[in-house]
Amino acid sequence: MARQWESVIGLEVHLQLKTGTKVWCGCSADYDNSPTNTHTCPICLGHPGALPKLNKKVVEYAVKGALALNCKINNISGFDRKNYFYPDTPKNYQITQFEKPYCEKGHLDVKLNSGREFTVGITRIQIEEDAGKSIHAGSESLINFNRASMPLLEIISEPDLRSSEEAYEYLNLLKSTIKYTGISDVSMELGSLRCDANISVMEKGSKVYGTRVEVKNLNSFKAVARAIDYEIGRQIEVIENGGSIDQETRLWDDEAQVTRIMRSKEDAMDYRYFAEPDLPKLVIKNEEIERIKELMPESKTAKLKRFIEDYELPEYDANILTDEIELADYFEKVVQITKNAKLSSNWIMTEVLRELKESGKTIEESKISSEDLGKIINLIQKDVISSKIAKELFTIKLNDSRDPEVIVKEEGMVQVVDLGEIEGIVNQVLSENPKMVEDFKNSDEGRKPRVLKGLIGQVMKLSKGKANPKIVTELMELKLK
Amino acid sequence: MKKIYELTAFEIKEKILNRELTSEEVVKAIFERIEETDGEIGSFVSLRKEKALEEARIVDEKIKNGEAVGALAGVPVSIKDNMVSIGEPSQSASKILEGYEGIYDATVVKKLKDADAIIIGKTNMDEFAMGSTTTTSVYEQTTKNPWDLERVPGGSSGGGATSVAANQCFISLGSDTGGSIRQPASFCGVVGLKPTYGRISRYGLMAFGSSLDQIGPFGKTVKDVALSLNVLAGTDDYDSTVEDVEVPNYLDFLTGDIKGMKIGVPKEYFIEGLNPGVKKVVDEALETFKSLGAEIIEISLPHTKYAAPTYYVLAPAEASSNLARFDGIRYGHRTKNAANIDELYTKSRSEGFGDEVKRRIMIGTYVLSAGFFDAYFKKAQKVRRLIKNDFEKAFEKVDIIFTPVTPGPAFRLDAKKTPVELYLEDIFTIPANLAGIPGISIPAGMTEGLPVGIQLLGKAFGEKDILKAGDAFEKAIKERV
Repeated sequence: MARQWESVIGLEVHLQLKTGTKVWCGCSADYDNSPTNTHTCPICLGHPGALPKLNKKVVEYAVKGALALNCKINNISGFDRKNYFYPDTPKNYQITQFEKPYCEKGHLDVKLNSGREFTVGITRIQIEEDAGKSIHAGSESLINFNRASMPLLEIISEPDLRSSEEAYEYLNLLKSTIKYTGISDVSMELGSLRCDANISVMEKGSKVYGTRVEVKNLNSFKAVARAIDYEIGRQIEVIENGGSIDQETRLWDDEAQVTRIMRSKEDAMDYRYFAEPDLPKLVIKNEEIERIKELMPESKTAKLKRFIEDYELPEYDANILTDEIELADYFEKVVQITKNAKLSSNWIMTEVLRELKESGKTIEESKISSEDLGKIINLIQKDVISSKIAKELFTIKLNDSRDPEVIVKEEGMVQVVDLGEIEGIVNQVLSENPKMVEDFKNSDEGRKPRVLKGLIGQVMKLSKGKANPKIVTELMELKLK
Repeated sequence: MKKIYELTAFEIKEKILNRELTSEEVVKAIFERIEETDGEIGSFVSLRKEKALEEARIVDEKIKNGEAVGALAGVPVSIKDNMVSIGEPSQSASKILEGYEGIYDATVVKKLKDADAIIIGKTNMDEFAMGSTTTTSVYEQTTKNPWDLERVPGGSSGGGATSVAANQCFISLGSDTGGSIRQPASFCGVVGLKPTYGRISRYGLMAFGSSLDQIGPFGKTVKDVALSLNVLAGTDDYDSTVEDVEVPNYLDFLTGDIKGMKIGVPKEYFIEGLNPGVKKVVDEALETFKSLGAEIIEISLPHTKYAAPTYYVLAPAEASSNLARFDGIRYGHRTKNAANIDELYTKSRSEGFGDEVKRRIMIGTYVLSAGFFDAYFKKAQKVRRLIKNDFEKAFEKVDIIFTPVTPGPAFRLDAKKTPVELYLEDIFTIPANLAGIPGISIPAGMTEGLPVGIQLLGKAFGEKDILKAGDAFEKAIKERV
């Protein structure tokens, strides 16, 4: 019988914090698109005599992250030096938390699409600094230190994940949870979220974990999932062929879709950790934690609950709308204008989300602003346009900068409510379709509505969709009696 | 009448304020004195004559206009080459910083400037403050003891001590990691203070052992040192290890009255190897204290014998990490021929660092390495705690502690001492650095035509106690002379 395997996965996620300034100095952290080495000072360049000083905002953000991930915050923690030589590490040591991190023992409860739920333990989160960026151009190597000393949180999970799917879902939930706190952009593209995976396999039912391999260079959630699948397959194959897994660090090659060895345990670094003597112990008092708790934005769970209770939305709707904080904000802005939660929700879940999916845009980049959508919905509510016309208007608005109300006026999309005008069209349809009228009269009660619908359809078609469907229906029913 | 350069800092300051002298006259006299003497003594490695004169004239102008001036108005001061000042050579007497100019001002430099002191130049030292002879400097210049040009001035702040002893300036700033202010002060017959760790900002001091380093002043009198401490002490936005403890006016404690003061004399400091000449001076000093009405109490500091080995684990460990930033990447010496990054590091550092520095980097790297961390670094940290406890216990019984500064007077430049013999030069000074407490060396007498100092140690932030006792002692022996 073939041997059965089980995989064990733990993730290390690095988040860049949006604190505005760097972790040890006052250099501006908004360096995107800035010229190389312009956001630097003696401290983040590691000049002789320069000392680090902890940015208070980093602590506030770190605590927010810890609270969002249900961690226990240590009142006293410390910073350590991790020593290694690397050109883009200005001091040739990284200041991090090793001996005692500021928080430990958290968890995230993940719910899969299938409905299956599982919990991922967060071993610890540590505050640390980022390195600069090396650029290799031919035989030259250049370094940009703008990113050096940017504040990071390293979130280390327990080896609680069992498949690439679980890892993917955990990362998604982690991302959206952190996004809710506002402490990080959590974007892999922008480099504000990075992930390494520790993967091992063991025989099903075993209590002893196999030797783990660390995979780096993962640049998307999909890459994480693929690398995990590849690595599980590779490890099983090695073992089944009588080999054994070496503790090593491997790189994910996204082009070839394989992992490659980076370094083995033998040439693993000795980081020579020791307590950073230039920084006092990090003290976070309970009162401070309480104060920061007050500053925490509403969590996803709280928002979901509120959407169901206050807006009386179905759980299905609320779940989708609160998936991303930006979408939830968009919804709430639309509701403020329309005062109609379900109608707003319907429009977002169908038209808006479909449009985003097709265009590949995020809600923040959407051509239809919350004001626009609110106005469109209000035009329906005020019977100015029909739902059908509203959908047309929505499509026009994607490439039109005019106000929706202006478009409706200028394009003559206003609904016809004039009784006489509608009656004229109804009469025309009845006289042009004697067969259908006959059919209606001969039909039983079950079939009648269908035939009626066909006749109404003809009226709508003739009026180019502008006739008020309610009036059309009433008139038609009256005439057919 | 005394020549200008023979006056004390306090006297100079008074005369400038009274307009008996201008700062310009004083600075000119000082540069003349330096020109006459420094060829032989070799205190200075860089001078800033033009800037100093210009700054002196500005101070004179301020005084003439009746504007407020700082506590060291117009007084020439020298600083050690390991303190960074903007646009000026700051090299820590190392080849690896050849041609390096500071890109910012150390906090002490800023404080001196704010106090209207006139910085006249940088003084010679042991490379990166490692040594007790000022002979490991990269500069082709031997600093000599002004009392006997064939003897060492002590180290590592040897140039600072000689600059004051040879009347080349009135106050000098040194740094003390294991005795580097107090030992040269004793050898050269000047007053040298190592304040409490955390009393003066280290920002801009090129780090040797971050948890041990402290900047402190040399002066001709205790009063000058107290005056300097008034200027230098206190919190700093750039150094979070400086403690927020009130800075008193230290001059207020120099009353000469120490009746009833309890002076502890630790038996462990009066060892077999103590030079008889030194012992005689020390015994006489104790008699003087008795005659001033102090109560002499024998105490025990049982872990004293472990201080030197502990220090020579901890200081190199921190140094190995602190000196990692000198890698030839961003500033300083870079090797001319490196084929790859590893060679760039190895060759730049091999060429740039001297033997003593390399020795300590190797020791430090070894004691921090994963396999030996617990056996050396961790154990040393525990012993450090015991040494600190010894002092805390002693200070429950006594106000200050009295000890010799060094086992003997200044030794000959050609005395071939092994590194270990040299390390033992610091056995009386090291414990104060490990405990973080203040210590002062005060000239107490002569032996073999060489000065001998005594050391007074105080409780943390108890500078006022040792300054008070030191001042009373100084007045008493001057009267006797």
